[in-house]
Amino acid sequence: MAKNHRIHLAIVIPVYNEGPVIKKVIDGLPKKIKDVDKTTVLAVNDGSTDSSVAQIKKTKAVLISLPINMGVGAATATGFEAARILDADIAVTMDGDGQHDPKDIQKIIAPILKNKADLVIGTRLVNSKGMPFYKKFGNNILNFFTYLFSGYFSTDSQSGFKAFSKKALLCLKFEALGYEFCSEIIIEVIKKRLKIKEVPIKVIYNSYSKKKGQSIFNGINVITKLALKKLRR
Amino acid sequence: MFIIIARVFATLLAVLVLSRLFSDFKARKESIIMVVFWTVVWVGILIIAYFSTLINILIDTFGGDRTGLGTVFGMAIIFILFINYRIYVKAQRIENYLKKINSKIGLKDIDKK
Repeated sequence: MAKNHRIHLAIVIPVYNEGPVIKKVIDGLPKKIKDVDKTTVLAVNDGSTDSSVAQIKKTKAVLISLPINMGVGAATATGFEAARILDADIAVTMDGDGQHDPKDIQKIIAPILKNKADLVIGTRLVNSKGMPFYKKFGNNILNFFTYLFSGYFSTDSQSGFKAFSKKALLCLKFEALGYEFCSEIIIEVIKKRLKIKEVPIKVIYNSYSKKKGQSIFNGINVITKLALKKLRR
Repeated sequence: MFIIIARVFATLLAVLVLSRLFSDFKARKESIIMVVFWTVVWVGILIIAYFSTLINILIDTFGGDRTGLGTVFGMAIIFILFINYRIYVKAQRIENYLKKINSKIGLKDIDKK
């Protein structure tokens, strides 16, 4: 990135019924990030039916409220659109359940600041201590299918902790509504010949975040939707 | 044996569909025209399941010498696949349209921030 350019970072957090934890997640974000001049937190409420909106309003985050629950993919895509409108230089996506360590933001944006990547995937599977076995197994299956559809093998294709350069933010177009969005990002980035990097991140698994995330049925749904998308093209 | 399984299967599905249909109608989520239409369709399916010789009578009456049960079965599958495709395309279009509207509503105030 050019020197003397003021860096604006947008942190996109899709939120669906995260009332008990969302305020803590947003309040836990670092006030100052090295080499970043401005940070905007975009909390995209995906039609939550609990206290999520009220909790987000108590924070410094910009609330984007979607009237209908359409899935994490649709919510994140709306967050990206907001980041484009606000002219962000880098966008970071994080889960709203508190499983990601905010200290890793610095680590995940570093390759973009050095112009070494357009997409950085925060991989949980390099240091997967604490991750339940069935989640590890499911993630590896989805990694394999993402490789089949994109030609790129990611060690954690389903990670919700990702960073995007401005170039990626401007040229990527997403269709997926649900969790298949994670794989779609990789497919699109490879198609547009952008650079991908992976950095290991810490995962905070507690009883709340263990309950969240993808089920086996979601995994099957992701594979079916990716196959249908491939057939349509 | 196969005919018994087919009858049980048809009855189960018909009970499921019709009970849902009538509860939706009670909750004013479904119109009377659709209730009548789907009731006729599923009663028809039950009649065919329980009186399957009716198909033979129909084939003898309307089909030529070369029309058999396989032809009717094949045509039914093709028809179901076609309907399935149409529903998939329409659902996809509606989903995309809904996504755009949803996003537009969410972003309406963002440029002011």
